[in-house]
Amino acid sequence: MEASNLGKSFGNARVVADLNFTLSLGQAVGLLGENGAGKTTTFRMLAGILAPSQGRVTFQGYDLQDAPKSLFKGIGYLPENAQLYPEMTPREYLLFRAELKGLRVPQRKTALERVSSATGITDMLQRRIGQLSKGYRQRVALADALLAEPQLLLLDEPTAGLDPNQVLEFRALIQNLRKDHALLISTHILEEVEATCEYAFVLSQGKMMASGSLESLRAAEDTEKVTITTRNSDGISQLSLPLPELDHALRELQAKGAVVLSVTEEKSPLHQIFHRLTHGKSS
Amino acid sequence: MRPFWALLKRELFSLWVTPLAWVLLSTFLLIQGGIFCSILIHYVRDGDANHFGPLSAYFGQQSVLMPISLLMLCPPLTMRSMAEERRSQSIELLICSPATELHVIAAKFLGTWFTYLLVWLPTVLYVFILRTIAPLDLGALFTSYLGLALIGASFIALGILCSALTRSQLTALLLTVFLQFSLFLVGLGEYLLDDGPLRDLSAHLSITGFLEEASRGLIDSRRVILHVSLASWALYIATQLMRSWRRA
Repeated sequence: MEASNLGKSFGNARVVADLNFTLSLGQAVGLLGENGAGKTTTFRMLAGILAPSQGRVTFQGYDLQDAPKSLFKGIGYLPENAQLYPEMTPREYLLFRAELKGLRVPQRKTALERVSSATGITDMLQRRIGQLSKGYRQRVALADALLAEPQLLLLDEPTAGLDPNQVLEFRALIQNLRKDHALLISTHILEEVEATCEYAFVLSQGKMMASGSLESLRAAEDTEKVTITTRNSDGISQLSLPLPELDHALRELQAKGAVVLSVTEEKSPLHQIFHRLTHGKSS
Repeated sequence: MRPFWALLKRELFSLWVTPLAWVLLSTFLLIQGGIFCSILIHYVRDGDANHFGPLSAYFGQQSVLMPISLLMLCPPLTMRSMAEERRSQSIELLICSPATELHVIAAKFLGTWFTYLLVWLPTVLYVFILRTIAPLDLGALFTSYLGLALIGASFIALGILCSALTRSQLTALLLTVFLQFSLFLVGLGEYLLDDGPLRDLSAHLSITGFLEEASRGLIDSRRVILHVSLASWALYIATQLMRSWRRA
Protein backbone atom coordinates (compact mmCIF):
# COMPACT_ATOMS: atom_id res chain seq x y z
CA MET A 1 0.00 0.00 0.00
CA GLU A 2 1.24 3.43 -0.85
CA ALA A 3 0.02 6.78 0.43
CA SER A 4 0.97 9.72 -1.78
CA ASN A 5 0.53 13.27 -0.62
CA LEU A 6 -2.42 12.05 1.44
CA GLY A 7 -4.55 14.65 3.17
CA LYS A 8 -7.99 15.12 4.66
CA SER A 9 -9.93 18.22 5.60
CA PHE A 10 -13.28 18.51 7.32
CA GLY A 11 -14.63 21.89 6.31
CA ASN A 12 -11.82 24.34 6.91
CA ALA A 13 -10.08 22.11 9.42
CA ARG A 14 -7.16 20.22 7.94
CA VAL A 15 -6.84 17.01 9.92
CA VAL A 16 -4.19 15.19 7.88
CA ALA A 17 -1.77 16.72 5.39
CA ASP A 18 0.86 15.52 2.92
CA LEU A 19 1.44 11.99 4.17
CA ASN A 20 3.76 9.88 2.05
CA PHE A 21 4.67 6.31 2.90
CA THR A 22 4.75 2.75 1.66
CA LEU A 23 3.76 -0.39 3.55
CA SER A 24 5.28 -3.69 2.40
CA LEU A 25 4.72 -7.31 3.32
CA GLY A 26 6.66 -8.38 6.40
CA GLN A 27 6.86 -4.84 7.77
CA ALA A 28 5.37 -3.91 11.12
CA VAL A 29 4.95 -0.17 11.39
CA GLY A 30 3.72 1.80 14.37
CA LEU A 31 1.78 4.98 13.67
CA LEU A 32 2.53 7.15 16.66
CA GLY A 33 0.73 10.29 17.59
CA GLU A 34 -1.01 12.08 20.39
CA ASN A 35 -4.78 12.01 20.71
CA GLY A 36 -6.19 14.06 17.86
CA ALA A 37 -3.04 13.78 15.75
CA GLY A 38 -5.04 12.35 12.83
CA LYS A 39 -4.23 8.66 13.28
CA THR A 40 -7.80 7.37 13.05
CA THR A 41 -8.58 9.63 10.07
CA THR A 42 -5.46 8.29 8.36
CA PHE A 43 -6.56 4.72 9.09
CA ARG A 44 -10.05 5.34 7.78
CA MET A 45 -8.55 6.66 4.54
CA LEU A 46 -6.24 3.66 4.27
CA ALA A 47 -9.16 1.29 4.86
CA GLY A 48 -11.22 3.01 2.14
CA ILE A 49 -13.87 4.30 4.57
CA LEU A 50 -13.03 7.94 3.94
CA ALA A 51 -12.06 9.48 0.63
CA PRO A 52 -8.96 11.68 0.86
CA SER A 53 -9.40 15.39 0.22
CA GLN A 54 -5.93 15.42 -1.29
CA GLY A 55 -3.54 12.80 -2.66
CA ARG A 56 -4.37 9.13 -2.93
CA VAL A 57 -3.96 5.69 -1.47
CA THR A 58 -2.97 2.89 -3.81
CA PHE A 59 -3.23 -0.79 -2.95
CA GLN A 60 -1.84 -3.42 -5.30
CA GLY A 61 -1.58 -0.73 -7.97
CA TYR A 62 -5.20 0.47 -7.71
CA ASP A 63 -6.34 3.82 -6.38
CA LEU A 64 -8.44 2.73 -3.41
CA GLN A 65 -11.28 5.08 -4.40
CA ASP A 66 -11.70 3.46 -7.81
CA ALA A 67 -10.55 -0.03 -6.92
CA PRO A 68 -12.84 -3.02 -7.45
CA LYS A 69 -14.50 -3.87 -4.15
CA SER A 70 -13.09 -7.41 -4.25
CA LEU A 71 -9.68 -5.83 -3.61
CA PHE A 72 -10.82 -4.92 -0.09
CA LYS A 73 -10.46 -8.61 0.81
CA GLY A 74 -6.75 -7.90 0.94
CA ILE A 75 -7.09 -5.32 3.71
CA GLY A 76 -7.90 -6.42 7.24
CA TYR A 77 -9.11 -3.47 9.30
CA LEU A 78 -9.52 -3.46 13.07
CA PRO A 79 -11.16 -0.15 14.02
CA GLU A 80 -10.72 1.42 17.42
CA ASN A 81 -13.65 0.16 19.54
CA ALA A 82 -14.90 -2.09 16.75
CA GLN A 83 -18.69 -2.21 16.71
CA LEU A 84 -19.90 -5.73 16.20
CA TYR A 85 -23.49 -6.96 16.15
CA PRO A 86 -24.29 -7.76 19.81
CA GLU A 87 -27.19 -10.10 19.04
CA MET A 88 -24.92 -12.48 17.10
CA THR A 89 -22.50 -15.08 18.46
CA PRO A 90 -18.85 -14.78 17.33
CA ARG A 91 -19.42 -17.90 15.21
CA GLU A 92 -22.44 -16.38 13.43
CA TYR A 93 -20.68 -13.05 13.07
CA LEU A 94 -17.46 -14.49 11.64
CA LEU A 95 -19.34 -16.77 9.22
CA PHE A 96 -21.35 -13.74 8.07
CA ARG A 97 -18.17 -11.70 7.61
CA ALA A 98 -16.47 -14.59 5.79
CA GLU A 99 -19.35 -14.83 3.33
CA LEU A 100 -19.34 -11.04 2.96
CA LYS A 101 -15.66 -11.25 2.06
CA GLY A 102 -16.50 -13.74 -0.67
CA LEU A 103 -15.26 -16.97 0.95
CA ARG A 104 -16.91 -20.19 -0.22
CA VAL A 105 -18.67 -22.50 2.28
CA PRO A 106 -15.76 -24.93 2.95
CA GLN A 107 -13.30 -21.99 3.10
CA ARG A 108 -15.52 -20.24 5.65
CA LYS A 109 -15.37 -23.11 8.12
CA THR A 110 -11.62 -23.49 7.72
CA ALA A 111 -11.13 -19.74 8.11
CA LEU A 112 -13.35 -19.70 11.20
CA GLU A 113 -11.27 -22.43 12.84
CA ARG A 114 -8.00 -20.75 11.87
CA VAL A 115 -8.85 -17.25 13.13
CA SER A 116 -10.66 -18.37 16.27
CA SER A 117 -7.66 -20.48 17.21
CA ALA A 118 -5.20 -17.67 16.37
CA THR A 119 -7.11 -15.14 18.45
CA GLY A 120 -8.01 -17.50 21.28
CA ILE A 121 -11.78 -17.22 21.03
CA THR A 122 -12.60 -20.86 20.33
CA ASP A 123 -14.33 -21.25 23.71
CA MET A 124 -16.38 -18.10 23.17
CA LEU A 125 -17.78 -18.90 19.73
CA GLN A 126 -21.28 -19.78 20.98
CA ARG A 127 -21.79 -16.83 23.34
CA ARG A 128 -23.58 -13.65 22.33
CA ILE A 129 -21.13 -10.89 21.37
CA GLY A 130 -23.07 -8.51 23.62
CA GLN A 131 -22.17 -10.69 26.60
CA LEU A 132 -18.42 -10.79 25.87
CA SER A 133 -15.83 -8.68 27.66
CA LYS A 134 -14.22 -5.83 25.74
CA GLY A 135 -11.05 -7.91 25.36
CA TYR A 136 -12.90 -10.76 23.71
CA ARG A 137 -14.91 -8.42 21.50
CA GLN A 138 -11.60 -6.93 20.38
CA ARG A 139 -10.36 -10.43 19.60
CA VAL A 140 -13.49 -11.20 17.59
CA ALA A 141 -12.89 -7.98 15.63
CA LEU A 142 -9.28 -9.02 15.02
CA ALA A 143 -10.44 -12.49 13.97
CA ASP A 144 -12.72 -10.76 11.46
CA ALA A 145 -9.80 -8.72 10.13
CA LEU A 146 -7.81 -11.95 9.63
CA LEU A 147 -10.59 -13.98 7.99
CA ALA A 148 -9.74 -13.51 4.33
CA GLU A 149 -5.98 -13.82 4.92
CA PRO A 150 -5.32 -10.17 4.02
CA GLN A 151 -1.88 -8.98 2.97
CA LEU A 152 -2.30 -5.77 4.95
CA LEU A 153 -3.56 -5.40 8.52
CA LEU A 154 -4.60 -1.99 9.81
CA LEU A 155 -4.94 -2.10 13.59
CA ASP A 156 -6.27 1.11 15.13
CA GLU A 157 -5.49 1.29 18.86
CA PRO A 158 -5.69 -2.51 19.13
CA THR A 159 -5.08 -2.66 22.89
CA ALA A 160 -7.19 0.32 23.97
CA GLY A 161 -9.32 -0.63 26.95
CA LEU A 162 -7.71 -4.02 27.52
CA ASP A 163 -6.41 -5.11 30.93
CA PRO A 164 -2.63 -5.64 31.34
CA ASN A 165 -2.85 -9.41 30.80
CA GLN A 166 -4.97 -8.98 27.70
CA VAL A 167 -2.49 -6.37 26.41
CA LEU A 168 0.38 -8.84 26.75
CA GLU A 169 -1.60 -11.59 25.03
CA PHE A 170 -2.61 -9.21 22.27
CA ARG A 171 0.99 -8.11 21.72
CA ALA A 172 2.08 -11.74 21.46
CA LEU A 173 -0.65 -12.29 18.92
CA ILE A 174 0.47 -9.30 16.87
CA GLN A 175 4.08 -10.57 17.01
CA ASN A 176 2.86 -13.82 15.42
CA LEU A 177 1.10 -11.95 12.65
CA ARG A 178 4.17 -9.97 11.64
CA LYS A 179 5.73 -12.59 9.44
CA ASP A 180 2.75 -13.07 7.12
CA HIS A 181 1.34 -9.56 6.85
CA ALA A 182 2.14 -5.92 6.40
CA LEU A 183 1.07 -4.37 9.69
CA LEU A 184 0.22 -0.78 10.52
CA ILE A 185 -0.59 -0.27 14.17
CA SER A 186 -1.91 3.03 15.42
CA THR A 187 -1.27 3.88 19.03
CA HIS A 188 -0.21 6.56 21.43
CA ILE A 189 1.29 3.95 23.74
CA LEU A 190 5.00 3.92 22.92
CA GLU A 191 5.70 0.59 24.61
CA GLU A 192 3.27 -0.91 22.16
CA VAL A 193 5.39 0.16 19.22
CA GLU A 194 8.62 -0.91 20.89
CA ALA A 195 7.10 -4.31 21.64
CA THR A 196 5.60 -5.00 18.24
CA CYS A 197 7.14 -2.88 15.49
CA GLU A 198 10.49 -2.26 13.88
CA TYR A 199 9.36 0.86 12.01
CA ALA A 200 7.47 3.93 13.15
CA PHE A 201 5.73 6.95 11.67
CA VAL A 202 5.32 9.89 14.02
CA LEU A 203 2.27 12.02 13.36
CA SER A 204 1.61 15.39 14.93
CA GLN A 205 -1.28 17.69 14.05
CA GLY A 206 -1.87 15.63 10.93
CA LYS A 207 1.67 15.90 9.62
CA MET A 208 4.38 13.28 9.40
CA MET A 209 7.15 14.46 11.73
CA ALA A 210 9.45 11.47 11.28
CA SER A 211 9.48 8.00 9.77
CA GLY A 212 11.89 5.10 9.66
CA SER A 213 13.13 2.18 11.71
CA LEU A 214 13.11 2.63 15.47
CA GLU A 215 16.90 2.38 15.37
CA SER A 216 17.23 5.13 12.80
CA LEU A 217 14.85 7.34 14.76
CA ARG A 218 16.99 6.87 17.82
CA ALA A 219 20.17 7.48 15.81
CA ALA A 220 18.74 10.70 14.43
CA GLU A 221 18.25 11.98 17.94
CA ASP A 222 21.27 14.01 19.07
CA THR A 223 23.39 11.87 21.35
CA GLU A 224 24.19 14.29 24.06
CA LYS A 225 25.23 12.00 26.88
CA VAL A 226 27.58 9.07 27.48
CA THR A 227 27.89 6.59 30.31
CA ILE A 228 31.35 5.59 31.55
CA THR A 229 31.64 2.35 33.50
CA THR A 230 34.74 2.16 35.68
CA ARG A 231 36.31 -0.16 38.22
CA ASN A 232 38.25 1.22 41.14
CA SER A 233 39.00 0.24 44.70
CA ASP A 234 35.32 0.78 45.69
CA GLY A 235 34.08 -1.55 42.98
CA ILE A 236 32.28 -0.91 39.70
CA SER A 237 30.62 2.45 39.21
CA GLN A 238 28.90 4.31 36.40
CA LEU A 239 29.15 7.95 35.51
CA SER A 240 26.79 9.78 33.17
CA LEU A 241 28.03 13.04 31.64
CA PRO A 242 27.58 15.30 28.61
CA LEU A 243 29.48 14.22 25.51
CA PRO A 244 31.79 17.30 25.30
CA GLU A 245 33.13 16.49 28.78
CA LEU A 246 34.12 12.92 27.85
CA ASP A 247 37.82 13.55 27.09
CA HIS A 248 38.36 15.57 30.24
CA ALA A 249 36.55 12.96 32.38
CA LEU A 250 38.58 10.08 30.92
CA ARG A 251 41.85 11.87 31.69
CA GLU A 252 40.74 12.51 35.27
CA LEU A 253 39.67 8.91 35.78
CA GLN A 254 42.99 7.60 34.47
CA ALA A 255 44.82 10.02 36.73
CA LYS A 256 42.89 8.59 39.70
CA GLY A 257 43.85 5.08 38.66
CA ALA A 258 40.35 3.94 37.73
CA VAL A 259 40.02 1.29 35.04
CA VAL A 260 37.57 2.34 32.34
CA LEU A 261 35.51 -0.73 31.43
CA SER A 262 33.26 0.85 28.82
CA VAL A 263 32.01 4.09 27.33
CA THR A 264 28.52 3.92 25.86
CA GLU A 265 26.23 6.42 24.20
CA GLU A 266 23.00 6.94 26.07
CA LYS A 267 20.26 6.04 23.63
CA SER A 268 17.26 8.29 23.81
CA PRO A 269 14.16 6.44 24.90
CA LEU A 270 11.35 6.44 22.32
CA HIS A 271 9.12 8.61 24.48
CA GLN A 272 11.83 11.30 24.50
CA ILE A 273 12.08 11.20 20.69
CA PHE A 274 8.30 11.27 20.45
CA HIS A 275 8.08 14.21 22.82
CA ARG A 276 10.69 16.18 20.91
CA LEU A 277 9.05 15.46 17.55
CA THR A 278 5.56 16.34 18.68
CA HIS A 279 6.32 19.27 20.98
CA GLY A 280 9.52 20.74 19.51
CA LYS A 281 13.04 20.54 20.85
CA SER A 282 12.74 23.47 23.22
CA SER A 283 10.30 21.70 25.50
CA MET B 1 -23.33 -11.79 -5.39
CA ARG B 2 -21.91 -13.57 -2.33
CA PRO B 3 -21.69 -10.34 -0.28
CA PHE B 4 -25.32 -9.61 -1.17
CA TRP B 5 -26.57 -12.98 0.10
CA ALA B 6 -24.52 -12.58 3.27
CA LEU B 7 -26.07 -9.16 3.89
CA LEU B 8 -29.58 -10.39 3.09
CA LYS B 9 -29.28 -13.25 5.57
CA ARG B 10 -27.84 -10.88 8.17
CA GLU B 11 -30.73 -8.45 7.63
CA LEU B 12 -33.35 -11.17 8.10
CA PHE B 13 -31.46 -12.43 11.14
CA SER B 14 -31.34 -8.99 12.72
CA LEU B 15 -35.04 -8.42 12.12
CA TRP B 16 -36.24 -11.76 13.46
CA VAL B 17 -33.75 -12.44 16.24
CA THR B 18 -34.60 -9.20 18.03
CA PRO B 19 -38.07 -8.66 19.57
CA LEU B 20 -38.98 -5.95 17.02
CA ALA B 21 -40.43 -8.18 14.31
CA TRP B 22 -42.25 -10.39 16.80
CA VAL B 23 -43.81 -7.43 18.64
CA LEU B 24 -44.83 -5.92 15.32
CA LEU B 25 -46.21 -9.21 14.07
CA SER B 26 -48.26 -9.72 17.26
CA THR B 27 -49.64 -6.17 17.32
CA PHE B 28 -50.33 -6.22 13.60
CA LEU B 29 -52.17 -9.53 13.74
CA LEU B 30 -54.16 -8.32 16.73
CA ILE B 31 -55.35 -5.29 14.75
CA GLN B 32 -55.98 -7.35 11.63
CA GLY B 33 -57.86 -9.88 13.77
CA GLY B 34 -60.04 -7.05 15.05
CA ILE B 35 -60.78 -5.88 11.50
CA PHE B 36 -61.50 -9.44 10.44
CA CYS B 37 -63.88 -9.98 13.37
CA SER B 38 -65.80 -6.82 12.61
CA ILE B 39 -66.20 -7.90 8.95
CA LEU B 40 -67.20 -11.38 10.04
CA ILE B 41 -69.85 -10.05 12.46
CA HIS B 42 -71.13 -7.71 9.76
CA TYR B 43 -71.51 -10.54 7.22
CA VAL B 44 -73.12 -12.95 9.68
CA ARG B 45 -75.59 -10.26 10.77
CA ASP B 46 -76.38 -8.43 7.52
CA GLY B 47 -74.99 -10.63 4.74
CA ASP B 48 -73.35 -9.01 1.73
CA ALA B 49 -76.01 -6.27 1.58
CA ASN B 50 -73.74 -3.80 -0.22
CA HIS B 51 -72.37 -6.44 -2.64
CA PHE B 52 -68.83 -5.26 -1.99
CA GLY B 53 -67.56 -8.75 -1.31
CA PRO B 54 -65.32 -9.69 1.61
CA LEU B 55 -62.07 -8.67 -0.14
CA SER B 56 -63.28 -5.16 -0.73
CA ALA B 57 -64.42 -4.99 2.86
CA TYR B 58 -61.05 -6.16 4.08
CA PHE B 59 -58.67 -4.29 1.77
CA GLY B 60 -60.62 -1.37 0.41
CA GLN B 61 -63.88 0.52 0.90
CA GLN B 62 -61.90 3.63 1.75
CA SER B 63 -61.29 2.15 5.16
CA VAL B 64 -58.87 4.09 7.37
CA LEU B 65 -57.84 0.83 8.95
CA MET B 66 -55.60 -0.30 6.11
CA PRO B 67 -53.57 2.96 5.97
CA ILE B 68 -53.20 2.75 9.75
CA SER B 69 -51.99 -0.84 9.43
CA LEU B 70 -49.40 0.19 6.83
CA LEU B 71 -48.26 3.18 8.89
CA MET B 72 -47.94 0.95 11.90
CA LEU B 73 -45.92 -1.66 10.04
CA CYS B 74 -43.49 -0.03 7.60
CA PRO B 75 -41.78 2.77 9.59
CA PRO B 76 -40.82 0.57 12.59
CA LEU B 77 -39.49 -2.08 10.23
CA THR B 78 -37.18 0.34 8.44
CA MET B 79 -36.18 2.84 11.14
CA ARG B 80 -33.15 0.83 12.28
CA SER B 81 -31.87 -0.34 8.93
CA MET B 82 -29.30 2.37 8.19
CA ALA B 83 -29.61 4.73 11.17
CA GLU B 84 -28.49 2.10 13.68
CA GLU B 85 -25.59 0.97 11.48
CA ARG B 86 -24.40 4.59 11.33
CA ARG B 87 -24.98 5.35 14.99
CA SER B 88 -23.04 2.27 16.10
CA GLN B 89 -20.45 2.82 13.34
CA SER B 90 -20.81 -0.80 12.25
CA ILE B 91 -21.43 0.70 8.81
CA GLU B 92 -17.65 1.30 8.58
CA LEU B 93 -17.01 -2.42 8.47
CA LEU B 94 -19.51 -2.74 5.63
CA ILE B 95 -17.99 0.17 3.68
CA CYS B 96 -14.50 -1.31 3.82
CA SER B 97 -15.73 -4.82 2.95
CA PRO B 98 -16.02 -6.24 -0.58
CA ALA B 99 -19.76 -5.41 -0.51
CA THR B 100 -20.81 -2.48 -2.70
CA GLU B 101 -23.26 0.21 -1.62
CA LEU B 102 -25.84 -1.37 -3.92
CA HIS B 103 -25.36 -4.75 -2.19
CA VAL B 104 -25.98 -3.14 1.20
CA ILE B 105 -29.07 -1.13 0.22
CA ALA B 106 -30.58 -3.93 -1.89
CA ALA B 107 -30.10 -6.45 0.94
CA LYS B 108 -31.62 -4.05 3.48
CA PHE B 109 -34.59 -3.47 1.18
CA LEU B 110 -35.23 -7.08 0.24
CA GLY B 111 -34.74 -8.32 3.82
CA THR B 112 -37.25 -5.80 5.16
CA TRP B 113 -39.69 -6.29 2.31
CA PHE B 114 -39.60 -10.05 2.76
CA THR B 115 -40.29 -9.54 6.47
CA TYR B 116 -43.20 -7.22 5.59
CA LEU B 117 -44.65 -9.92 3.32
CA LEU B 118 -44.18 -12.56 6.01
CA VAL B 119 -46.09 -10.38 8.47
CA TRP B 120 -49.00 -10.21 6.00
CA LEU B 121 -48.93 -13.93 5.30
CA PRO B 122 -51.13 -15.11 8.24
CA THR B 123 -53.91 -12.75 7.09
CA VAL B 124 -54.49 -15.04 4.08
CA LEU B 125 -56.12 -17.36 6.62
CA TYR B 126 -58.61 -14.63 7.57
CA VAL B 127 -59.57 -14.14 3.95
CA PHE B 128 -60.12 -17.86 3.45
CA ILE B 129 -62.36 -17.95 6.55
CA LEU B 130 -64.38 -15.13 4.96
CA ARG B 131 -64.77 -17.40 1.95
CA THR B 132 -67.12 -19.61 3.97
CA ILE B 133 -69.65 -16.82 4.40
CA ALA B 134 -69.33 -14.98 1.09
CA PRO B 135 -68.06 -15.72 -2.42
CA LEU B 136 -64.33 -15.07 -2.89
CA ASP B 137 -62.65 -14.15 -6.16
CA LEU B 138 -59.18 -15.72 -6.14
CA GLY B 139 -57.97 -13.34 -8.88
CA ALA B 140 -59.00 -10.40 -6.73
CA LEU B 141 -57.31 -12.03 -3.75
CA PHE B 142 -54.07 -12.16 -5.76
CA THR B 143 -54.34 -8.54 -6.93
CA SER B 144 -55.16 -7.39 -3.40
CA TYR B 145 -51.96 -8.88 -2.04
CA LEU B 146 -50.04 -7.68 -5.11
CA GLY B 147 -51.26 -4.16 -4.32
CA LEU B 148 -50.16 -4.51 -0.71
CA ALA B 149 -46.77 -5.85 -1.83
CA LEU B 150 -46.22 -2.92 -4.21
CA ILE B 151 -47.31 -0.29 -1.69
CA GLY B 152 -45.11 -2.02 0.87
CA ALA B 153 -42.14 -1.94 -1.52
CA SER B 154 -42.39 1.81 -2.03
CA PHE B 155 -43.04 2.49 1.67
CA ILE B 156 -40.11 0.34 2.75
CA ALA B 157 -37.79 1.93 0.20
CA LEU B 158 -38.85 5.37 1.49
CA GLY B 159 -38.25 4.17 5.03
CA ILE B 160 -34.74 2.98 4.18
CA LEU B 161 -34.03 6.33 2.56
CA CYS B 162 -35.24 8.16 5.68
CA SER B 163 -33.12 5.86 7.83
CA ALA B 164 -30.08 6.69 5.68
CA LEU B 165 -30.66 10.40 6.25
CA THR B 166 -30.10 10.27 10.00
CA ARG B 167 -28.27 8.44 12.78
CA SER B 168 -31.36 8.52 15.01
CA GLN B 169 -33.91 5.71 14.78
CA LEU B 170 -36.61 7.97 16.20
CA THR B 171 -35.97 10.69 13.62
CA ALA B 172 -36.02 8.04 10.88
CA LEU B 173 -39.33 6.70 12.23
CA LEU B 174 -40.97 10.15 12.39
CA LEU B 175 -39.67 11.13 8.96
CA THR B 176 -41.02 7.93 7.41
CA VAL B 177 -44.39 8.33 9.13
CA PHE B 178 -44.56 11.93 7.90
CA LEU B 179 -43.77 10.97 4.27
CA GLN B 180 -46.16 8.03 4.19
CA PHE B 181 -48.94 9.93 5.94
CA SER B 182 -48.45 12.73 3.38
CA LEU B 183 -48.98 10.18 0.60
CA PHE B 184 -52.28 9.14 2.20
CA LEU B 185 -53.32 12.77 2.57
CA VAL B 186 -52.52 13.47 -1.10
CA GLY B 187 -54.91 10.63 -1.97
CA LEU B 188 -57.73 12.33 -0.06
CA GLY B 189 -57.78 15.02 -2.75
CA GLU B 190 -59.70 12.52 -4.87
CA TYR B 191 -62.72 13.09 -2.60
CA LEU B 192 -62.12 16.69 -1.61
CA LEU B 193 -61.12 18.42 -4.88
CA ASP B 194 -63.29 19.43 -7.79
CA ASP B 195 -62.85 17.72 -11.15
CA GLY B 196 -59.61 18.71 -12.84
CA PRO B 197 -55.96 17.71 -13.27
CA LEU B 198 -55.21 18.09 -9.54
CA ARG B 199 -58.01 15.70 -8.64
CA ASP B 200 -56.80 13.26 -11.32
CA LEU B 201 -53.27 13.44 -9.96
CA SER B 202 -54.55 12.93 -6.44
CA ALA B 203 -56.58 9.91 -7.56
CA HIS B 204 -53.57 8.49 -9.35
CA LEU B 205 -51.39 8.82 -6.25
CA SER B 206 -54.07 7.56 -3.87
CA ILE B 207 -53.01 4.57 -1.78
CA THR B 208 -56.56 3.74 -0.69
CA GLY B 209 -57.71 4.07 -4.31
CA PHE B 210 -55.05 1.56 -5.35
CA LEU B 211 -56.11 -0.89 -2.62
CA GLU B 212 -59.77 -0.43 -3.50
CA GLU B 213 -59.13 -1.22 -7.16
CA ALA B 214 -56.88 -4.14 -6.31
CA SER B 215 -59.55 -5.63 -4.03
CA ARG B 216 -61.89 -5.67 -7.03
CA GLY B 217 -59.31 -7.51 -9.14
CA LEU B 218 -58.04 -4.44 -11.01
CA ILE B 219 -54.40 -3.47 -11.29
CA ASP B 220 -53.73 -0.20 -13.08
CA SER B 221 -50.29 -0.41 -14.68
CA ARG B 222 -49.76 3.34 -14.00
CA ARG B 223 -50.05 2.67 -10.29
CA VAL B 224 -47.59 -0.22 -10.58
CA ILE B 225 -45.12 2.02 -12.41
CA LEU B 226 -45.63 4.73 -9.79
CA HIS B 227 -44.79 2.47 -6.85
CA VAL B 228 -41.93 0.67 -8.60
CA SER B 229 -40.47 4.05 -9.62
CA LEU B 230 -40.91 5.45 -6.12
CA ALA B 231 -39.13 2.44 -4.63
CA SER B 232 -36.33 2.55 -7.24
CA TRP B 233 -35.70 6.25 -6.78
CA ALA B 234 -35.69 6.02 -3.01
CA LEU B 235 -33.21 3.12 -3.12
CA TYR B 236 -31.06 4.90 -5.69
CA ILE B 237 -30.86 8.03 -3.51
CA ALA B 238 -30.08 5.89 -0.45
CA THR B 239 -27.23 4.23 -2.41
CA GLN B 240 -25.85 7.62 -3.43
CA LEU B 241 -26.13 8.85 0.17
CA MET B 242 -24.14 5.86 1.36
CA ARG B 243 -21.52 6.53 -1.31
CA SER B 244 -21.30 10.13 -0.13
CA TRP B 245 -20.41 9.05 3.43
CA ARG B 246 -16.93 8.16 2.16
CA ARG B 247 -16.47 11.74 1.02
CA ALA B 248 -17.77 13.22 4.30
